[in-house]
Amino acid sequence: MSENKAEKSSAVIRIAIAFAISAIALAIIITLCGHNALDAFYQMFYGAFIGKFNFGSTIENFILILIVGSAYSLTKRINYFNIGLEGCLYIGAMFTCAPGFLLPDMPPWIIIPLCLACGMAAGAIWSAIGGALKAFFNINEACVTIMLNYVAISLTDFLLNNTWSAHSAAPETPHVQANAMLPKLPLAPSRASVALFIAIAVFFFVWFVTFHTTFGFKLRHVADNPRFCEAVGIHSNLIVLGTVMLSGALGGLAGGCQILGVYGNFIQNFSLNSAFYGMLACLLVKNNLKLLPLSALFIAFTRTGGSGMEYYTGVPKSLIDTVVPILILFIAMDQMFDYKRFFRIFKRKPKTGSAVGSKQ
Amino acid sequence: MDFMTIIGNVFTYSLVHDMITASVPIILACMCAVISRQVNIINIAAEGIIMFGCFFGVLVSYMTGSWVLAVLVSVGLGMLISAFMALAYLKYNVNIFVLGLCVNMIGTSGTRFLLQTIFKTSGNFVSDKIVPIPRVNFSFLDNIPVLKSLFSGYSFTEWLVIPIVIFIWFMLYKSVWGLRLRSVGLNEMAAVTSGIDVNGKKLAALVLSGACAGLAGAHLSLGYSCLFIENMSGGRGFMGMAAMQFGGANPLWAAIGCVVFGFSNSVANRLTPYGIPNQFVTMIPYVATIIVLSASVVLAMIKRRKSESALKA
Repeated sequence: MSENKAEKSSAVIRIAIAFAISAIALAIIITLCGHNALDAFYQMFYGAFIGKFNFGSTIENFILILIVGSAYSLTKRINYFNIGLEGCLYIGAMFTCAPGFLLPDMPPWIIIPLCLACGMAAGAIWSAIGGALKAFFNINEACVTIMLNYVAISLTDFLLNNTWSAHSAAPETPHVQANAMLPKLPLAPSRASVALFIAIAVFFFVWFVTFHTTFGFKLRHVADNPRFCEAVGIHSNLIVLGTVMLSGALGGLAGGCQILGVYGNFIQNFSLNSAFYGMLACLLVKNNLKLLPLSALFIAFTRTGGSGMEYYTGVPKSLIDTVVPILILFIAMDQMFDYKRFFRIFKRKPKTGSAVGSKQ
Repeated sequence: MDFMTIIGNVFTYSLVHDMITASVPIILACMCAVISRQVNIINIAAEGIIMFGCFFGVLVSYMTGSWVLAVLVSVGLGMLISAFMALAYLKYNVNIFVLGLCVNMIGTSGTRFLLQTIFKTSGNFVSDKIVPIPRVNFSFLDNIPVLKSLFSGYSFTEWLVIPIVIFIWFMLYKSVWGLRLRSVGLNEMAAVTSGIDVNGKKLAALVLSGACAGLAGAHLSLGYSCLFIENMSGGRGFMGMAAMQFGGANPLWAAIGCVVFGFSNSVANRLTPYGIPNQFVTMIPYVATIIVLSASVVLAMIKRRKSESALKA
């Protein structure tokens, strides 16, 4: 837990080197494609922050990415690789939407919490499948949650085409009642809503739970040494299950905020892997909660700024979408940028740790 | 239209042909998952490598007019990507899921970028100049429609799948190399103790699995169809992984799992025009895989408990 200062500063420098290399590579590729790199960067910045619509769109992306990133951060801490957040988002969105158009008109302060609570409960139950299989039978969570994503997408597909279909041309559900919609922020043409405050609350909730509660204390230790936890009386499998369900509930909330804040009804395939961007935000800062809002803002910036850049300079947005995962790979491989060892690269280093079990 | 007529229209002999065509890309993607699973690496990067294989297959075939070269380039590229993954995973200790996730995202958006810059189109790319993998037709079957549908009209790579699966099974289970490779997956420390180069074996397994995924990509864009579409892998890499779990990392059983996936996909496609909700049919293989996976682990657990109690008594 306790890193010394020199180690921390060198980690920051390594991340900075990764950023710099990615930016330079991006500039070179843009130049090779025959565009002006500086102009492209300027348009990217302009497209993300200047003007009500641009800034509002960034906020709209930021909401989703921050909620999913916080949810992912919880499970990352127990080394549970939760790919299933996409599925939770779909299920949560569907079950947030359903009370919105099934129930009679109600005042906003009843219907909004009711809808979001339904979505969160659905997300928690959905993720509990993977969590229980991991906690009690130690079945690999990545395999199960990938498949549960597909099942969730098929399930919501079925619901919106049959039971809860709007009977319109497009595959979608009816609109939720007007009272259930979250009020929009004063960023008029964009779709950013007060879900921003929900997202910030979620972030502080996750931070508080992780570092200032008994549950968080147990959670942080279950990953390090589950057998020790069992020995001192912490039921590590229940902690795993609880964390995964909490994370799933937040995933469901993310879907709910998309429905009540942005779309108003459930449209087929509305998410398009957007949950993965939340996971990228968490991976970008190596699960450092203090930096998570910053990295969520960065990912949101690349998402909206990319569109602005494509519109004004013709550099494809997909280039930005390609460079962001590469940047995350660089940051994950940060030992590659060990600038201190760079000077000693020609020296033969002694082989250490060749035995596999020596780490355990 | 009554139910029996629909069933009669869906389950015809040509369903077998559809099923095999649909399962071949999944089998190739599945072999990627199988080989890496044998050294205890869960490789979710198949999806991204397939996308690169698809794109470069079409690109090389379009540029040079040779499908052999296109397939070779796709396979080589798959090996290159997985060699990079092996470097990151073995040398820099990057989490394998993070790696796979990033490769998948790069595969999706990177091919879209290349499509826009090289071919100046977006969405899909179709051209007469793309040379597909040739189809194998048996002219002596032309008079018998049933046999013609069953055995004729498959592309070259579709026939190639059978020897590939058998070869991988043979290499894994009947050769010394495979025994050592599997021992790395079963018990890494024991493998180190007996003098096996663990990292070398893992590298070999990852590179081989990348070759399989690259071949899957080339087959998808040149054999299964003759075009490139954004996101054309369509979850086949993940289906292959699910089938690998279904078959317990044994190539033969996993291939059977893939055929189940192909079957449910083609039945779901055929049900769509009749207005029957096909989502449940699409869902079946995933749910079945989760159930098989959990059942096998739970059974193993019960077995172990029993043997433990027998020792105590």
